[in-house]
Amino acid sequence: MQLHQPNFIEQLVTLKARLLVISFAPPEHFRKWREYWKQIHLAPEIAEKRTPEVNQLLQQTVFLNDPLLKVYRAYGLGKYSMLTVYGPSVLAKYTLYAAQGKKILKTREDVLQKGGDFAVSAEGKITFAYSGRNQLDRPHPQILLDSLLRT
Amino acid sequence: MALPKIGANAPDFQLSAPDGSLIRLSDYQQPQLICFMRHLA
Repeated sequence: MQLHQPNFIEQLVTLKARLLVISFAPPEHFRKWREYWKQIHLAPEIAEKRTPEVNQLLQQTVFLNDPLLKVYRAYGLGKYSMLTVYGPSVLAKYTLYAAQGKKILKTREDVLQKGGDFAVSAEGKITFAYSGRNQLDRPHPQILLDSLLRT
Repeated sequence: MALPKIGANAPDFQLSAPDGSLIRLSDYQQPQLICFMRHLA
């Protein structure tokens, strides 16, 4: 999900929706990643925009650990094949990142595990469910919010 | 393995919060957007 778009944050606040971010990484690794993410991605944004929106987003965001993947499985998130994860379209994207000078970091975790994005209404019903064809395929956050607005 | 259907009850589980406490997904204020991450870099 691309979370830094002003309209998205405003609508999230208006809906009083929670953003739950779930990772299967070991808790200590996830904690370090969160600190890195806040420093590298959020801090410059807050400094640049000088608006309370990003802080508001953080207040409505909860980070949770699922190292045993029990919630991933309950939401139907299985694994990609090796061919999908290292397929031509993905390799082309990584080649572009490398050409742009972006760092491509190695991971110790399962690269085949799928991610996914879901919206749950105030009544606890699923209003949106999506897991991409590959790791580059994530939905626009507005689609998730629209699914909540329709309920 | 299939994704939950639109309109179905959202699966509910207890998970670890950053402070180490155990919290159920349904304990959080709803509506919710849930992002399941892939591996961390």
